[in-house]
Amino acid sequence: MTRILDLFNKKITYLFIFIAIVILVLMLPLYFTSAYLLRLMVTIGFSIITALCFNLVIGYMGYPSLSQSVFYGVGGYTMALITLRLGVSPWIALILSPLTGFAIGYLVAIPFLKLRSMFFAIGTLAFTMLVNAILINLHTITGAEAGLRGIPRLVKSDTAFFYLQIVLIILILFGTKILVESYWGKILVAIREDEDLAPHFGINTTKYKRLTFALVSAFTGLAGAMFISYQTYISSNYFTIGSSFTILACTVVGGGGSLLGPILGGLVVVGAPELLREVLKGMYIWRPCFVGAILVAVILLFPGGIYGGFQKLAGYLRKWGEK
Amino acid sequence: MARQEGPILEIHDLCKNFGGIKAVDELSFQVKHGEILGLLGPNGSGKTTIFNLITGVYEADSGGIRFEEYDITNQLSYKIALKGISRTFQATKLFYKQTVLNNIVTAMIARTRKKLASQETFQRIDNVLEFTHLENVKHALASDLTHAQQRRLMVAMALIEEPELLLLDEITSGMSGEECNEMIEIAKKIRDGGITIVLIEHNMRVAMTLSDRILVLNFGKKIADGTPGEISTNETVLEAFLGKEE
Amino acid sequence: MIFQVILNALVQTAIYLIISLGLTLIFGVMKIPNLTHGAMYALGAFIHYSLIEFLGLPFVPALFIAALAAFGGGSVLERVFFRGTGDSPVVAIICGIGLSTILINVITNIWGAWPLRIQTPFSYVLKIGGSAISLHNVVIIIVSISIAILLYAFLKWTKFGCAVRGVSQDQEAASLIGVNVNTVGMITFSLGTMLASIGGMFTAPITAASPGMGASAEIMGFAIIILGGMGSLGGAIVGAFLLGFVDTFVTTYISGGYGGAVAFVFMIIVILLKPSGLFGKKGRQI
Repeated sequence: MTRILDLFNKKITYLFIFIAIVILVLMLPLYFTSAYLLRLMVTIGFSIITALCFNLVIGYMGYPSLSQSVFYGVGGYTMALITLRLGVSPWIALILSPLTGFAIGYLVAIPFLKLRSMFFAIGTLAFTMLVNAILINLHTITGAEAGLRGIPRLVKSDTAFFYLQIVLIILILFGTKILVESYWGKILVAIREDEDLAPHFGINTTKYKRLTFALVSAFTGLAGAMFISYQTYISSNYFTIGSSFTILACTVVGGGGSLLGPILGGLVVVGAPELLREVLKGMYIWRPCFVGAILVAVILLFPGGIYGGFQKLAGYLRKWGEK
Repeated sequence: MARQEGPILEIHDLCKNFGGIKAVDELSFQVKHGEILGLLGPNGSGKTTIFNLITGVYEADSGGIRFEEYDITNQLSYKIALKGISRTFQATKLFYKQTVLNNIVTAMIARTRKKLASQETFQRIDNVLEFTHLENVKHALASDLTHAQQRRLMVAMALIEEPELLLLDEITSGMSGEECNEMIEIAKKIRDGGITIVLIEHNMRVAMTLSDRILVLNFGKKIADGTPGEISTNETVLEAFLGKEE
Repeated sequence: MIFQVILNALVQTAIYLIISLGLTLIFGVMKIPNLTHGAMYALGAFIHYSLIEFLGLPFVPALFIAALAAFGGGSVLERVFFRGTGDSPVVAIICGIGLSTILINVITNIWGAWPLRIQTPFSYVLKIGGSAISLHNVVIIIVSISIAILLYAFLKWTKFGCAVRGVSQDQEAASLIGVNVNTVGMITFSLGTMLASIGGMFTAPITAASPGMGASAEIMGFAIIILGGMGSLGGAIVGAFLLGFVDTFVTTYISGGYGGAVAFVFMIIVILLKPSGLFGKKGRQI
């Protein structure tokens, strides 16, 4: 038993496990070919991508932004408007979406990041609702709730989208890992733990807060653009406070401040209710209840989320192995 | 570091009001290179406010602060820190949920980014831990340290980027006699290493032992400036407050 | 014509006042923003509806019973979920969002997503000059003024009211002189929730009851108390007037959809410039 536990001390073990999981995941569409399951996997994929981005802002930097759906929407409308009004390939829109996301994210960051914790949360909440109200009212441009149709797909099949997502997830995972383990990550943690203390050690908190927020908004926008291309349809209903809530739930439930947490969160928050749909037929109407209940339970009882739970478990196993 | 002509820090006509109360009242003084300057005075006489003004936490209402050749009046805190001024705080401020090691690394990342994982960096960290008698608790959480260890950790974090000026705000607060002695030795070694120190102290023994020169404040104004010997017999000072002796 | 708009604005102000008084009370004492306020606003209306439809109770008695139920519900929410979150308002916010989702889902599943019409017994329409106002709306105005006065009297002149004010100013000091902070918190939260439900019950006959009806009410409530100062009752009154009138005038003269948007703009401006609001100091009441 100790030998097995020893293996977990080596980094190379984790690399092998990771590669194995990736291969398994890549093979999923070969076995689960039903249209419904494919759609589910793609949906989970989008939740995971946005949660991974959001994790950087709330988990590592400690700023509970409730405006993620705004940037999701920025990317989405970039994709929709550029392809529909300018007749351009969705891939070009895809490349432009993180740029618009970054720009708007940076502009929003300037005033809002002056707020702390509760006021930041409420401020971003109000901002999301304001943007939603504007989107609904500008129906000539945005199509409001009825929406715009006919947005071209980046790639034709759901399966292809799935693979595209896997690529993006791996990129974001590794990008986040590099960032978090570098000096930038330490600066984010310093900001989260004591933002007033950090500048006394020469840390330009303002610059890093804004850059991080803008970066996260950029990738959230990218995800939004991809999502809209997948749906081929956009409506302001996609970008309400409810979508921010789902992203929040994925991150918090999975475990904020950890690399894999949002992935676990996405699987549980979005995936589990769908899979249980078959098992608990009539219970599907209680799905939001389920998500809400898990969120409340986690935030009050298990702040570390699922990932935190695993860490504790690993800690116990290690202690048990040492005996 | 070559000894330089002129003061390392110069405060002139500094004023800071808080809603009608003059915390700092047209204060002027200089700090010479390589000296230990003590800042004494009753509670509320403006000492910590001066530190906050120097490090950019407060904005001065009027007056100026010069550090070496720079005008640092109302500059941003992080820029002032990068110019070579470090400080500790009256109430212990640390990254409590992080280890001692992480605290020190965080204190140095602003300037030591690229070489973070180098041998040289590890050596510097070990040196500073040894210097502040914290080598045994390198991997302990800051929240698990004793009070005196936490105070010394603040000093370690202030020292890691080799400042030219170190501001110590009641660093011995809450320490026992022995711990104070330990701190006195550390402070002396800091000064011997070429770093100028300004220290706020309520502990008279520490203040008198360490300071080359003492400034006494009351109601935001300077009421005395001299050696420890001169100050302890100064009538105005004695009138202003009965000093606490260990 | 403008008199009609003013009358409408007064009604809107009255409704906003009922909502925001409860919200600011909770924030002043417990130091947390209550994100279940809108859900309880809705739940109150639906319980009221069921009491009228299925138990055949008249409007007013049903209102009292539903309000009491909301009071009890608020107690449960405080005791089980919100107690102790005063130290980390972000936890309270996330918790509130989760609970709100649960409550709205429950409402949708029990009563359905379609708006329900509720009849008010006060359907007589008063004519003043060239303008009209329904008796129901007059009742709303009277009720909201009464609530404001009762709340003021309660806080200023009763022993428990003093305890509430004490806790809102300094929780630790209050507990040191023997105030049971937990009880104060629970009663306050229940009171605030009850006020929210009353707001919903009076609004439902006007706008019909739907599960999501609380969302805009709650966010307007926050806009009001942020403007007026979170924790300040006087501020809530001023804020309710300000936003009630702005909302009505914008909706009438400019465009239907932008009324709420203007409130958000105000709210964001205030948050960015002076988060303590026009009249507030953190946690101060009357």
